[in-house]
Amino acid sequence: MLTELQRFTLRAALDRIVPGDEFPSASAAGVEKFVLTLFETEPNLLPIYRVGLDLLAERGFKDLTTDEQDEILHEIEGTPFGRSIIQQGIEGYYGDPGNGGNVDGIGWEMVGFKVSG
Amino acid sequence: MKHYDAIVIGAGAGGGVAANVLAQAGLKVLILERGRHLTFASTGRDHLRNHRLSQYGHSTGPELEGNPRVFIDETGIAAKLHPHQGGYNNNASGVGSGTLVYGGQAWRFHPLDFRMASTYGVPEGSSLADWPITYEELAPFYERVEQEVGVSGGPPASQMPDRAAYPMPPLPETKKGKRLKEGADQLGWDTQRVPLLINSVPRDGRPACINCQHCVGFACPVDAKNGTQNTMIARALASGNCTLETGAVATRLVVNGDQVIGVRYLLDGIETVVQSTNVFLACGAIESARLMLISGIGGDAVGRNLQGHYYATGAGLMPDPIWDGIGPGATISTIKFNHGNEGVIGGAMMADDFIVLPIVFAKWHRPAHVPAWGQANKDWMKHAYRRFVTVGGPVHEIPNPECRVTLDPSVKDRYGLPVARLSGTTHPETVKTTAFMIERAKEWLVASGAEEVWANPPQLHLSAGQHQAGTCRMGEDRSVSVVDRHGKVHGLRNLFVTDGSVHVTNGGFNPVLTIMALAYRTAQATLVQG
Repeated sequence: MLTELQRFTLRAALDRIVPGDEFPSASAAGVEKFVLTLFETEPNLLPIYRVGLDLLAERGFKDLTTDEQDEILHEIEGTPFGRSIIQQGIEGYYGDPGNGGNVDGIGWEMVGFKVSG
Repeated sequence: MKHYDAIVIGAGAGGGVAANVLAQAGLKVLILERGRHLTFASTGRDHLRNHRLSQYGHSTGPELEGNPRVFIDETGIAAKLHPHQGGYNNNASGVGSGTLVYGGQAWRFHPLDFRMASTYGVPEGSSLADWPITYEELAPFYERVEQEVGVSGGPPASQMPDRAAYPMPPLPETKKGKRLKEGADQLGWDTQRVPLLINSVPRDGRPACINCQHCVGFACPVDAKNGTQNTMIARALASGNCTLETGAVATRLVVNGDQVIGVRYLLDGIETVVQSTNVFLACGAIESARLMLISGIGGDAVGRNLQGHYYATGAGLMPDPIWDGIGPGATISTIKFNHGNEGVIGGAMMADDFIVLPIVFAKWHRPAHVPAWGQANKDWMKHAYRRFVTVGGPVHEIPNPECRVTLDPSVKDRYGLPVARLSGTTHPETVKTTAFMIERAKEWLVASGAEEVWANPPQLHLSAGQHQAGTCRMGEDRSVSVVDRHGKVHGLRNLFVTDGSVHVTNGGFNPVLTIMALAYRTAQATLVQG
């Protein structure tokens, strides 16, 4: 679906959208899996991601410092790819675990959302 | 050809109530519902695919493929939309329709909501009008649906006429409800608990609410939410007088002279025609108008005055966490500002919200100074979610006759029928009232201790959505209305409309109780007229 370089780039970008601190980063919380799963039901997203990830990869995104990565994400946040990856990064982290992200409800635990019944 | 006493098209709020009133009177009733039986087990709790947030679809109908609409935006650009996309103005499709997934706020309209033109005059360019009926005429039917469908709440608001108590006590008060009550008390605003079509005590063979966090937008895990599917329709079926066909898509009302002589519908791809003495149309304001237009029924007024509600919402951040997770979450309200506001027309009921899911919080409630991503966004989510409160409510829309449902000239649905084309925007007075109400919402939050308050400024757009109304307006003048004071379509002796379509105006309240009360009244009127 994605090349290895695209995957590494995706992971690096998602981890700037929701960085790790005392709570896990996006990819550690399953958001990468969320995005890959979403391509199955939203196939129109895949070409947008491929183009965007290739552009980031050309700039060596995955090996840049976090400050440099943030700078690039700020640059592209208004583009179709930028809007998508930000939107889906947040959806994966805070949506329900049934969608593949928010593993073990870690995003919910962080904000303090608890399910009873 | 099969003949029934009554055919009800659409098993939602209005259709469900009408069907049961008729079936209990001994009439042979057929309900046609295009959706299916839905349950909590079959629909689940997907936070990205529900009727609160339909980001990638929804599990409660209509099916995403084959049911498009065309939406003309404020700049005149047309877009073909699927049911889960903004602008489609969707309602759930299934037995119970929106009542399966609603939060169930059970408001009566205010007496002045029926007399808007007399109270405020008619702003230029609007179709603001009085209803041909009064609050007093509808009050007995409000009471019946409160009792028969089942409302918890109370005591009723002081601004409303004397009335019977709600049949069930209110659901538990929440921490945020208490805080907002203190704020309102300080302002001298009187408040009441939000009346809800949810069991606060076991009733009708079903349990009380378990106070879960997934109410509005989802089916209830314990069936404590009172929709028509588990009350009126269930009783209609139990009477032995009612047949419910699901997956049955009405395609045309066949008219001869002054009556509907048949209803055509598709079931599993096979077209059937059925006959009945009376026909009750209850597909919601968009689809009822569409079926009338497809059938060549009614004049120019059909499909006009499409309206729903603007929401005047203020958001605030409390100094301490006040999220206690006790659902459904809408607990306190004021109707102090529904009328009598200086310089604006009408107003709105204001209440706190149902429990806001984290992803909805992230998407809809982030103030402008918080970045959309990165560490600062994460910090905000971490520290703000449990301190967050929102209050707001449905603003009385000032209708515009150019807000319309028409038939799209080219786009067809999966059955080859022309789809609904939605166009127009509300009247600018609605925006003005919304801006006024947003300030009241902020005022309430500040008085309740919010350290920071914010809101999105209202903009002119078409509102219809789950509160869609107005497209088969009730009235006496046949050139600008579609049904008479009993919900009977002008010029036809056996076609009635029993959904939000008939609302002349849509109140500053959630409209479902009014839809149900009017359906009750219309169905009953047909019984006594024989």
